[in-house]
Amino acid sequence: MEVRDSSILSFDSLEIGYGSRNRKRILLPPLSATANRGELVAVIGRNGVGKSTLLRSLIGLQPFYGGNIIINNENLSDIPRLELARRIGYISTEIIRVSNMTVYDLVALGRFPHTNWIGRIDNKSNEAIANAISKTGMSKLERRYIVELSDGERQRVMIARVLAQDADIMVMDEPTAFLDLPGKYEIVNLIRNLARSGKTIIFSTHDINVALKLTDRIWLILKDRLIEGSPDELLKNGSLESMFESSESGADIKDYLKYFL
Amino acid sequence: MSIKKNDLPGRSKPLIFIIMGFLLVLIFILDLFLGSVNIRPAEVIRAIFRDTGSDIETIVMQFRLPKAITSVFVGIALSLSGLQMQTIFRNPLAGPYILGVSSGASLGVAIVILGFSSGLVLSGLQGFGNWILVISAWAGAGAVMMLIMFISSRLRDIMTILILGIMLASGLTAIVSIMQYFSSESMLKAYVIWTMGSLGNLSSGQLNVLVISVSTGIFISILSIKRLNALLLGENYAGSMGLNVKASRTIVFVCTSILAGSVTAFCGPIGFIGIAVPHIVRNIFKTSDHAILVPGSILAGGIVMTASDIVSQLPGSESVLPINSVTSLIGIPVVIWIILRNRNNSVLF
Amino acid sequence: MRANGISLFVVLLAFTISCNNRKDNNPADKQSSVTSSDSKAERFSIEKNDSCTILTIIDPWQGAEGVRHVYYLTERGKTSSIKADASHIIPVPVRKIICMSSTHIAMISALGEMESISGISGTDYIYNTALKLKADDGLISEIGYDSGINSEMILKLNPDLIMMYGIGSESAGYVGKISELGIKIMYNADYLETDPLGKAEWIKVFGALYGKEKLADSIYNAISKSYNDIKSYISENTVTRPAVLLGLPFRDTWFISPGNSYISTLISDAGGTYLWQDTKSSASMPFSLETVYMKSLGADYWLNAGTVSSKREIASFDPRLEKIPCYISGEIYNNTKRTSPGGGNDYWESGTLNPQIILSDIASILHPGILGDYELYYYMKIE
Repeated sequence: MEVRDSSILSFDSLEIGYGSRNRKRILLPPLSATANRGELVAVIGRNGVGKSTLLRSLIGLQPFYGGNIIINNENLSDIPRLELARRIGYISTEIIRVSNMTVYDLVALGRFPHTNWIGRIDNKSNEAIANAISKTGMSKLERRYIVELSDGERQRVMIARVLAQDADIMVMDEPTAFLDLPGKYEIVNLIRNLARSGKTIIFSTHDINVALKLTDRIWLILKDRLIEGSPDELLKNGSLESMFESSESGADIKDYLKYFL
Repeated sequence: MSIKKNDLPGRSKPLIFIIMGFLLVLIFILDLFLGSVNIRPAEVIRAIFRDTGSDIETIVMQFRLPKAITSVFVGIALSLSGLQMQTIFRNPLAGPYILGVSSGASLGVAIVILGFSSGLVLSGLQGFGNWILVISAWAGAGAVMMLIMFISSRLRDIMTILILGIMLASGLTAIVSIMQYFSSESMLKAYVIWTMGSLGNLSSGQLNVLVISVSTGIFISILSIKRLNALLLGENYAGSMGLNVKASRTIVFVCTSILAGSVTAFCGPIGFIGIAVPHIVRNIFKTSDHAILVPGSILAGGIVMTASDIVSQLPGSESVLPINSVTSLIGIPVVIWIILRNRNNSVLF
Repeated sequence: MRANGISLFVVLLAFTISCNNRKDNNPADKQSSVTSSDSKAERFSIEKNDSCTILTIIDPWQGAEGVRHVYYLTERGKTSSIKADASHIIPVPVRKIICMSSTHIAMISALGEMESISGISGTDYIYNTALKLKADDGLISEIGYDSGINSEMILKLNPDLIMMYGIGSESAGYVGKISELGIKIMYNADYLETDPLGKAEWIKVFGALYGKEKLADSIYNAISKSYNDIKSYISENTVTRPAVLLGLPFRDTWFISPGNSYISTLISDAGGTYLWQDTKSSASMPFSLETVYMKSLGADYWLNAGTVSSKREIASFDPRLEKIPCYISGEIYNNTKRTSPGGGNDYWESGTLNPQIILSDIASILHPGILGDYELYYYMKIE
């Protein structure tokens, strides 16, 4: 796929890893990829290959060691923290448990980059919160304490928080992990709708089904390269098989993948 | 779709604040009225507003008033620093001393009281009396703070910092134990008495310094309300929402060191208030919003500490109890109650 | 079985009879030094019989009740027929002793037995110059304090006796260790005596240990007579009983000595009134600053304000102390006139044997001029 002008986030020769300056550990060779406005991008790859590290690097939570990340045509390192938060939101696998916090309270925290020094919720913020809550179908549960929510409901609240952040780009680390089938369906449906309404959503997943059938673009991370393309492209050029390269059941992969053609 | 800002169902926050405000004033006045020496309330009031130079006036103005003011500010300082430690570490059992601030102060004081075991040097220091203890306590607390800052800038994970802080506190306490082991009876007693805490010992000069430091801490805490709320979700989420996590750590740690360090320097290590009061406030207001918790802790801290002071004075009897025993008696049941109440919920915090 | 029981009984009976009924050769010598009913000391008693002297130490630590340590002092060289634990049989005279307190030093010196001191706890605090020099030269060893006591050193010195004082029954821990090594231990409870003469009377204990009972008796009798003479003189020649404040606060608590204490008795005998002389307690009482301040308004003299050497020091502890009338009038006296560079204070050393001097000091402070041209010996005015 080409990089169009509608690219909202891209990275070039990016070296991700962790550790201090003296003892850094780089996980992968330089990576490059793009996400366009309004696309639903799935990041797939084996466990431990570096999906979470990549996502964290993209939002500025983790330092990277080479290359650059461009957001809205600006270099990530040039964007001030608060401004970055207004453009890009994040959901991790961490489960939030705070007592005495309602759904409204949690979503309201998403207004952090927009509120004043004490975090006062003005009318504009209130509206944004209300919209976010209704878009994620949580209106009825607005006053419920978050510790009383089901896993699926909680995940929706986290998404609502990012919506309240007014971020156009949403980065999610395994949003459907820990969820049961109906829960997974809820979330996937939700993020699909959000993408359709203009949000750019980059999420990592182990669910090949979802990745191949529902997304616009896939970033496949192998241990030595990143393969980017639409689901069709990746299926046709046999890239997906590379993901199973080192596993023992290589022979049956082609059969398995046939289900998706 | 107009959804109103979330109001606590059935609990009017402004009303609770007003009640707490009244309670604080009431307890403060009560602390002035009650003490070992029997003074009628009318006489107390007269002593405050007139300038007769009577002995009653001396007791009220020189002994009780400074002590009452100290109680209020110590209560505020401990509660605010405890609140911030609980939030930043997301740990309900965290308190003002968890980073070792009071252990550092204790070491400083131990060096002065216990370390110079030949009475010679000690008597040389006696000329400075109280201030020497304050300065050495502050120096100890400050040194620990610098160490924690340094560690914090090197380590990503805040849980690691928590554990290191606890270990540091234990290590410093161990050093003090060794010093205690080798010291003579009278010095040991002096040191032990210091660890029991004392609110009534401040000269007006020291009281001024305490009030200024605690007020600084209050000011910083209020400015930190927004960042503390963000930190409720953890440093990762807070960072993703635009918080400067590194700067926040520094600000919160410095604020705690100022608050907890000042208290320890002037009054010795007073425990349990810092852990218990934030929980009391959370449960009264049923919120995690620091815009409520910070002022709530200020009021509640002042109330609880002053009440403890009244109890420790054993009004009517000539004896007194050390303040630390009273705060433990209050704090321990609260801590136990928190743990028991939440064992099913798995949410303590 | 029964036969054994009877024979045991017979042996015991024989023992008690023999200990009591042998004719003595020198009645005059042996009848001295027995504590009589007008003995002021409460924590020891001495009885004599023909074969031994029985020294009983009573309740030798704070809070002890019904504790009795019995020692049998026998003549050195004579075989002892006493059936008691070897650790409680002491051949007299003692030739080598280790002392845990400086009061012991003073009494031993008074009996002329300074040579027998081979170890001391706290050599820095020795006031007696001759002894201090010996310690500095290493002829007297430092044996440490409390649980930091140097058992190896003690074993090496191999004394006939260690004179200890117990802070509490916890002392029993390290004490047991030393007695296991075969060293004889005696608790000295002189510091718990509340009567100044009772404290001085402990010289009789040392007298018994060194076989110098007569000397001890005469020393004590002289002290007692002197003390009582001064006491009656004061009570006959004074009308007022000035009020006395004691001590210094620590932080915001003032630990007040009770009325049944050593210093309280001295003040009373010197014609004064200790502000809390009607109180009774086995330990000092923690009072609030307010209470003490109020009471101090009625004090005429302030004694034993810690170990300060200047008024400025008192103020540095707490500026509110400057408002106490005694501070303003300057009537503050501490027993720190005779202190050594190492931190020792003769008040605690020779003072125990000189209650009559302490009495004179205090009387002169409370009633200036009553003893004529008297110069304070242990006490000094604090400027």
